[in-house]
Amino acid sequence: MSESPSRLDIEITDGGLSVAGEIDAHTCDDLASALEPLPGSGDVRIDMASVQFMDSSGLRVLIGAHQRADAAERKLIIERPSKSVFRIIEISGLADHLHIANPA
Amino acid sequence: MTPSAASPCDSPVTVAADVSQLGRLRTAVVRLARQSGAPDNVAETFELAVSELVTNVIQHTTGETVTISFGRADNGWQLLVSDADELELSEPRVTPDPTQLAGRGLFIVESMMDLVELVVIDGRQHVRCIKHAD
Repeated sequence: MSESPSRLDIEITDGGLSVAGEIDAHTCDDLASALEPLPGSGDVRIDMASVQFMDSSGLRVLIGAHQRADAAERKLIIERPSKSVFRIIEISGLADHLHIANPA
Repeated sequence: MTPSAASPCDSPVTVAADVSQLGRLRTAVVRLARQSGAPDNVAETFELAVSELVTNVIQHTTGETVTISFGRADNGWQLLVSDADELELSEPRVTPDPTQLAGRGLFIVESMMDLVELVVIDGRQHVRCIKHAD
């Protein structure tokens, strides 16, 4: 097969992170590292508009970061989740549990 | 759940049992789905399903390779993933607690598919999922 392995690009922004690519068991450790410790000192915004694919490996990282933010009286805000990101959040019944802003 | 006997479907793809292969398998499944006439929403459903199921197999079995097959089924499409020897399906399906970090993969697949079952092909256990055409 000529298809490439999954790839994830993470950029540090003023309010948190911007993430692009695919989040799966191969790449989720990179996202986990970027969110541990949580960046900055206030709410953490993670722009996920350019995430082409995410499975439950990525969801696990987001839930963990959400819980650490809550414990620190901060918020992890998932900004502009792509269709793939929003879909798995909805299927998992987490749309009302996670902080989501401006879904696609 | 007791596995049942089944026949293999089309287009087997075998890769090393390594998570670095997930992207390749997803791409292959989406391509096969589109070639078989599946609409985008069905192709995307199988894209997510293959990622969840193969991850589960890699994390819970000791095999060196994973084989997937994708093809048409009666009134829809089916995906087979080997070797799912350690996989167990839970019944009834229970929505995971929102605070639970892991263990959502099979729940997600079962939520999206019309049928998810364990089957035995050539003496090896596979997980098979079927999505019907609308």
